[in-house]
Amino acid sequence: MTEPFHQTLLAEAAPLWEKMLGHPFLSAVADGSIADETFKAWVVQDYLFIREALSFLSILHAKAPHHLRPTLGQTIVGIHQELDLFRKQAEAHGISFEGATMSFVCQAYAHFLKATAYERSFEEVFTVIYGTEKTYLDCWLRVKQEQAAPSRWQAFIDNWTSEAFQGFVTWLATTLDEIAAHKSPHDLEAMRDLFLMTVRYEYMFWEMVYTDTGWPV
Amino acid sequence: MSLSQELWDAHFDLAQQSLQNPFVQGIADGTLPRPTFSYYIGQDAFYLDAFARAYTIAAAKAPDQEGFRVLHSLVDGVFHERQLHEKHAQEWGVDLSSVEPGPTTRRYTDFLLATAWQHETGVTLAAMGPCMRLYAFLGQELARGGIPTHTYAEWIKTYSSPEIEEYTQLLDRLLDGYAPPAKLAHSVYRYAMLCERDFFQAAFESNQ
Repeated sequence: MTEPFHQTLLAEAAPLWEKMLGHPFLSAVADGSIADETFKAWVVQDYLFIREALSFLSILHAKAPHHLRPTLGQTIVGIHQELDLFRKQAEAHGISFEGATMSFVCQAYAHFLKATAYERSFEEVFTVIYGTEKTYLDCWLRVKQEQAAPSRWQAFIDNWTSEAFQGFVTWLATTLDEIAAHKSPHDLEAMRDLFLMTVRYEYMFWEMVYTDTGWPV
Repeated sequence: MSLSQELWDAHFDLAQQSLQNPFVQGIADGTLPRPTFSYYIGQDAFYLDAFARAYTIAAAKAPDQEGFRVLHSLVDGVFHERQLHEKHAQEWGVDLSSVEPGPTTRRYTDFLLATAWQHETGVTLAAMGPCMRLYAFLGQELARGGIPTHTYAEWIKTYSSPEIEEYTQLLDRLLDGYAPPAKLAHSVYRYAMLCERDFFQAAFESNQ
């Protein structure tokens, strides 16, 4: 294989990726025009989602080969810290998580993560975590690049654009390339499908929050 | 009132929406375009494989022998249904081995499998209940004036049969016995009902 696998994935996802980065939610956060209620709705949904993602990560950790467990274990610790950030920010901005329920898309995305974690190989599950983190990095980097003035929501923007987070995503990419090197074309195809599915869900997540679609009925 | 009955009554609005869905109405009067039905058969076969797996995961977690036995007999029912699909697929020239699940199908199977792995047997049964009860309901509704003679008579005959009603009652009784937490049961039941309705809609739109 000449091209690293993560680049193959990104190339495959390119049209969808551009669509995601151009989502009006992100540009509205960047130029400060985002409605408070819209951003707050995102805070709540993402908080509920990340809580579910913890079980996904735990299963990934349990399936991981020994040498990858320390870093993946750190990731779980990192997610707990991320939840702390959400709780602190929620308090500062008068947002309540009490009685909040996941939207349809949020729930579907969480089911996708968990079904994948339980049912698929370590390499396949790893591809999904690369997708979730890489989309976040790129989305929030786009916001940071476009913003002219500090945002009311800067803590979130900084969280996913920090050097530490960038380093983590680079580690995910490198590790994905390593573990993909031993997989058959059939397995790589399955990994590619899961990656594209992850990017689709990420896009739909912004869309769901931006258009205020909680439940279809 | 039993939990299974309470769930069915509480989310009956969605059962009505499935009944009124143009896909189901197209089966009722025989006007459903053939490619639409072919698409549905492929998607449903993929779905049934996940449905059978959810039963076996629920069976593996069953706290009692009786539940274990009943759940395996329900798996047998799914296999039987799957065989019917294979027969249909052959008649309709659909290759079941090459079916790619659509996003709506995937969303439903991810939900079932995530639930089955994560939760206790009773909750999984609440997630699986709508599929059984809804199909029995649709079959019986469509067979009200007798089994028609058009292209989709076989579908109506299958789902209005006493065997489907029997399997449905088996699942309902098991669900009632396990008595999962009501709030969670309602939540997964409604989600499954939504997935059912959207499944018909996605099939309908596949050929638009």
